[in-house]
Amino acid sequence: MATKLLMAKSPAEAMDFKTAAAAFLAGGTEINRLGSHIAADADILISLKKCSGLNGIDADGNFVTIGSMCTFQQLAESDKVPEYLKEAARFMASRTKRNMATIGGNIAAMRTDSYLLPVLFAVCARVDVLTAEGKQNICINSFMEAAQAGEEMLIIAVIVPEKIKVVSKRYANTAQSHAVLTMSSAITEKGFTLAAAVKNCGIFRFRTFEDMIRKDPDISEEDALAFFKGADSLKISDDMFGSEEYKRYLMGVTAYDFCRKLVGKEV
Amino acid sequence: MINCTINGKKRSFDIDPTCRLREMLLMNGNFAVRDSDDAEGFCGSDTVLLDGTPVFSNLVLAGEVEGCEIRTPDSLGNSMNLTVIQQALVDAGVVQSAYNAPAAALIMTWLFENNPNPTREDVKDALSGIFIRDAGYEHYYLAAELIKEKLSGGEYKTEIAPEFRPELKAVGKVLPKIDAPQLVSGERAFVEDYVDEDTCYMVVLRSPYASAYVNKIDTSKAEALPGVVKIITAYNCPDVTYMSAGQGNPEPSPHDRRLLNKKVRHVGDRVAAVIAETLEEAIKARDLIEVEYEPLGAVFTVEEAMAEGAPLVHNGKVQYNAGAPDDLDEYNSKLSGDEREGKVVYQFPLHGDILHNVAAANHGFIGDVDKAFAEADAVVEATYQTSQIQHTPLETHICFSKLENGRLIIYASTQVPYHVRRIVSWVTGLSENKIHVIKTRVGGGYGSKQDILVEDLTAYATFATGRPVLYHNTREEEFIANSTRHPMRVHVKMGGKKDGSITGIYLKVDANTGPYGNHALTVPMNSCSKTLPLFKCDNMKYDLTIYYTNTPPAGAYQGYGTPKGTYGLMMAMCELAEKLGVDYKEMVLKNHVEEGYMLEILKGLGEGREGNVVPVGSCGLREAVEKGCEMIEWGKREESGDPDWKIGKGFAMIMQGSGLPGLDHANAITKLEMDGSIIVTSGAADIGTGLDTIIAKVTSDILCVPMDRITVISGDTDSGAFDTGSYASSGTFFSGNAAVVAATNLKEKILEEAAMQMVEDIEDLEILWPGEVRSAKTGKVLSYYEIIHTSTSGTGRGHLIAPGSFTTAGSSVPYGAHFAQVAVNIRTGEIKVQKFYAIQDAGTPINPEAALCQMYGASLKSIGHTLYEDMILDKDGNCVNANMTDYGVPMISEQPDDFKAVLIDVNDEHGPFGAKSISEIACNGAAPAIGNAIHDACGVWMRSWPMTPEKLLKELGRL
Repeated sequence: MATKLLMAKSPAEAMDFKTAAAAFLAGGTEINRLGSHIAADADILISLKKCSGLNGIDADGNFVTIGSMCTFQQLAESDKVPEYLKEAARFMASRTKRNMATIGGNIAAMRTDSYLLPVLFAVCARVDVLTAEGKQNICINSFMEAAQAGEEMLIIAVIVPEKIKVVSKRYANTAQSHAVLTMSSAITEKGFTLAAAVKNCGIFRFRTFEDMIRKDPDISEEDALAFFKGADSLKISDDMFGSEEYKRYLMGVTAYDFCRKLVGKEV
Repeated sequence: MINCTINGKKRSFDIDPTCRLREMLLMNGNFAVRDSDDAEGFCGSDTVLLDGTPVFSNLVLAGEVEGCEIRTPDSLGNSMNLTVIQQALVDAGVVQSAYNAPAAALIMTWLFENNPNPTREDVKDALSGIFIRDAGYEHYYLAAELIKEKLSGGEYKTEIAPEFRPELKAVGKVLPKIDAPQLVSGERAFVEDYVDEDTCYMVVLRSPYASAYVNKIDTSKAEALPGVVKIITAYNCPDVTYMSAGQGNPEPSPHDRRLLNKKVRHVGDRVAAVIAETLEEAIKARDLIEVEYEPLGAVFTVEEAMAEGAPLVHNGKVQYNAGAPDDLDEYNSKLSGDEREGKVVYQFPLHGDILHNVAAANHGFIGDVDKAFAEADAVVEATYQTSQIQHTPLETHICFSKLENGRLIIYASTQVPYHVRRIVSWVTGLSENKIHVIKTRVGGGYGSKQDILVEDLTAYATFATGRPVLYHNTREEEFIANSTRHPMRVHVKMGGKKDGSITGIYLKVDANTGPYGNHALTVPMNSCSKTLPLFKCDNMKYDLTIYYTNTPPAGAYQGYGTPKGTYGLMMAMCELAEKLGVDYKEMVLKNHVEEGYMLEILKGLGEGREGNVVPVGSCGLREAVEKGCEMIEWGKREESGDPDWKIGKGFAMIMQGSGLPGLDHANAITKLEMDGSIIVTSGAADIGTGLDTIIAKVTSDILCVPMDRITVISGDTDSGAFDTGSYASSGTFFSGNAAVVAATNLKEKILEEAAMQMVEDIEDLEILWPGEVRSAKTGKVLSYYEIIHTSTSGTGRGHLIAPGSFTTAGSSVPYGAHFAQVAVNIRTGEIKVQKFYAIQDAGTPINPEAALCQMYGASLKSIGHTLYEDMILDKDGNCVNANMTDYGVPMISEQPDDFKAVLIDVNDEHGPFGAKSISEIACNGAAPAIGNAIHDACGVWMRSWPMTPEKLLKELGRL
C-alpha cells in the first residue's frame, strides 16, 4: 500500500521519480479504486495531475493527438476527437467517473474490460511514451507488449486516425458493470481490423479473422461463429460473466455484424 | 501541510497526502460526504466538486488537492433555508431514505449552474454516477422541471402528483416529507453522525469456510497489540441461543445462533470480534488471530440440502419452547449432539426437520386439486428458479453503542427498534429498561434492517468493555454476512378450462434460507399467502419446504416471498392462457378476486399459526389491469424495424398485505403542548418512506392543526410506546392507525376540557382549523393555546395527553398490475425494458408524491432482480461478486425510457383515512411482467432469475 505521494510537475520529473516500487497515478479511478492491485503493490504513487503538457487535444486533419491526462469526459466533449473514440469514452456510463478517468490511465491499466483498448487496437492507434531512453512513438500493440514485459514507460499522448470507419459494441450486465466483451472493428489503410477485450481473458487483435475478411468480405454468420468457436489460440474461460461458449458466440455474432456494417453486402 | 479552499474558506491540513480526500473533508466536519462503496467509485455518496467538477472524493488523494477549490453538499442550504434545488428534490418526493440526497443535490446544483435549461439527457448524464435504490430516478427528472420553472417563473407549473380526498387538508396532499429538509441538506441524521470522539472500533474476523468447526482460537498475539481493548469469540461470549429476525415474539423462526458460534456455517460467518481504540489497530489485530478450523462438508442449494446423506447444517440438539413432539428425545438421539453445533430452539412447531436440513415447512389446501387438474382442458406445469439477491442499501449496516449511567444506549439504523432492544436484552442479560435504542434516520432498509445483524454484537461489545463502540459493515460484508433474498425453486401446476377459468393451482416452494433460520418460514409462506389470494379458485394446494444451506444468510427482503410466488404463478397463467387459446388479459379478468370473495386459502397461511379467513376488502385490481392494458395498448403488436430486435408485452397482477393482522401492534402518544402545538411520540420506525409524515398528516387532519405545528418523535424506545416495527408493509396501516387512535383520543380530551372551560355541552363543540374549539350553540371559541394554558395552570386538570393503540383482525390489501414492454435481440440475447407501467391500488395515498417514488424505486429494483442482480458463489461458497460493480444494480441508465407509476383511487375500510401499504407490493410484478413480455417477443419462457442474455440464447437454441 502506497505510503508516499509525489506530485510530478513534468513528464520528465515523473520518469525521474519512477522506480520499481512506484506507480503512476493518473485519474485515480483505477489505482485508488477498491481492490486495486496496483495501489496495493506500490509503495509510492506519482501523481500526474499537475504534470504539464499532458492535457491537450490537437488535430491535423489526419490524426488526433490526445494528451494522456485527458479525461474521458474531455474526449466525449471535444470537437476534435473522432466519434468512434467519443463512443468508447461514453461506454464509461458514470459522468463522475468520466470526469476523473484518463485515456492514458485506462490504457496503462490494461484491464481486460477496458473501455478504450479494443477501439485503439482496431484503429491501430499509436502512443508517445517517455522511457529511460527518451521519447518514443510506438503502436498500441507494442506498448502493451512492452508494458507487459515490465518496461518502464510513461504515456505522453495517444494518436488516433481522424477519418476512419469504426464500429464498436460493448456487452455488460448494466451500463456500469464490467463488460464481458467489448469489440471494435475498423477499416484502416491496411483494411479490415478487429479487436476485443474479453473479461478475464485478455485484449485481442484477430489477425487471422482480419485476413479472412480481407480475402472474402461476404462471410456468413455461420462461418464467423465457427471461427470464434474453433479459435483454439484464444484462451477463453467460464466465469461469473458467462460461459466460454457464450463469449465465443458473442464474439462470432458481433464480428459478423461488424463485417456486414463495414465491408459486407450491407455497405 | 495541504492548503485548499473548502466551500469558499481557505483551509490547511496536516495530513498524510496519501489519505483520501474524503477523510480530509471529514476532518473538516463535512460529514455529509459519505461512503457507500468503500471507494469503489460507484454509488456516488462521496461526490464533491473539485475545481468545479464532480468527482468521487474517495478516489482522490488529499495530496492532489493542494491549491484546489472543493465544494461539498453541506455548502448548499440548511434545513431552515433550502435552496431552490434542494426544495425541488424535497417537493418531488425523491428525498426518502436519502443517504445520497445531499450528493444528488450537489450534482443538480452543479448541473443548473452550468446549464440552466438541462434536457432529460443532461439530467440523466449528470446523475449517472449516483446510485438511488429507494425512489428510482423518474422524479429527479420531475425535480429538474420544477427547478427550471421555479428559476424562470418563480413557481412550479408541473403537477408533482395527483392529490386525493379534497375534504382533507393534509392526507392525500403533496406536502414535503417532514424529515426531508434535514436529509437533503446533509445535517446530522444517520448513526455515523452521532459517534463520540472516544469511541472504539469493532471489526469482525469472518470464516473462510462454508462449514467448519472452530476448534481453537489463539488471540494472544492480537491482544498484545497496543490499542486492543477486547476480543470476543465463541469461547468467551454468552451462551445464549437466539436469532436475528426482528419479528413478533415468539418468533415463527428457529433460534439457531449465538453471538459467535463454535461452528461456522457460511463463508463470512462471525468467528471473532475485535474491539480496539482505532480502526487500523482493530484490523491489524484481526489479522493476527490464529484459528484452528475443522472443515466440514457443505451444501449450497436446496437440491444438495435435500439429497440423501447430505452434510447437516445444524446437527446439534433440537428444543421446543412450546408444542414439543412426543418423540423429541428419539429424534435428538439421531443428531450428533456435538457441543460445537449449538442447538436449534423452536418457539412453537414449524415442521422443521434438521436431520434433513429442513428449517421449517408448511402445507395446506382447499378443495381438490387432483380432481381440478383432471377436469381441466389444459394443464401447465413448470419450475421457476429465483436467485440470491442483496438489498444494497446505500448506508451499510452500522451500530454505535455506549454506556450512560448503567444503561446501554444504542444508535441503530433499524426497522425494528423494540426487537433490537429485546434481543440485546437477551444477549446481555440486561432488563429492557436498561437499554435505550435510538433509531436514527435509516439510509435504506428494504427488509435487511429488520434483522438484528450488527446491533447484538456491538451492544454486547460495549456491555463487555464499558466503552463506546462503533461497528460499520464494509460493502463486502453487506453481501456475505447480512441477510439476502431467499433463492427459491417455485414449482407451479395450473389447470384451466377453455372458457379461461382456472380449475386448480398447485404451488410447491423449496426455499433456501442459508445457514440460519431467520424468517425461514414466513418469507416462503408469503410466496403463497400473498399470491394465491389473487385467484378466484376453489382448488388450491401448496407445499412449502425451507432448507438450511451454507450460502450467505437469507432473510427479509422487500416483498418478502411474494415476488417469487408471483413470478411462477403469473408466468404459468400466461402459459396456460396460450395453451387454452385464451387471451391472457381476459383470463386474468375472469379469475381475479373481487370484493367480498371469501379467502378460504388463508386458513393455513398464518405465519406458523392458524390464519384468518377473511373476505376480500377494497380491491382496485380490475381497474389496475384495465388501466394498464389501455396504457400499454395490450394486443397491439409493436415492430422494431430491425429483424434482430423483437418487441413483446407482458403484465402481472400483484398483491401484498398491510402488516400482519392479529400479530402486529402499534402505539402512539399525542400531546397538546403549551402553545397549542402538538408532539406525537410514536413507536414507529420511519425508514425513509415517510411514515413520520403520515403520522403528522393524520394528526393534522384529525386535530385541525397545521403540519408545521406538529412534531413527530419516533423510533426511540425510551420515549415512545411499543411498535412491532416497520416490516410486512405495516407502517402506514398499523403505526398510522395508532396515530389516528391517539389523535382521536386527544381530540376527545380537548373537547372534554373545552366543554368544562366553556361550561357547555360537549355535543355542541367542534374542532376547527387552525387548532381551536368552537361552540355551535354560543359561537364561543377557545384556541388550543387557551385550553392547554388553563388545563395546565395551578388549578388545571392536567396536561392533555392521549395514547393510541392499534391492533386489528381487519386486512387492508393493496393490489395492482405491472406492465412491461421489452425489446429482445434474438441474436445477442440482449433485453431492453422499453416501457414499464406500475399501476397500484394503495387505498388513499397519504403521501402521493412519496408513494409514486416508492413505486418507481421498487419497480426499478425488481427490474434489476429480474435481469441481472445475482450473488454468485463459487464451489466453496465464496461470493465472487461481492461489490457493486460486479454485482450490478440498476442506475439511471437502466431505467426504462417510458416509466410510469399510476395510483388507483380506492378508499379502504380499515386503513387510516382509507390508506393501504404502497412500497413492498411494487417489488412483485417485474419478473412475471418481463418474463411474459419476453415470451411475447420471441416465444421462449424464461424460468430462471436473472433472465440473462446467455440464458435467453440457450432458450432460443443459439447456444
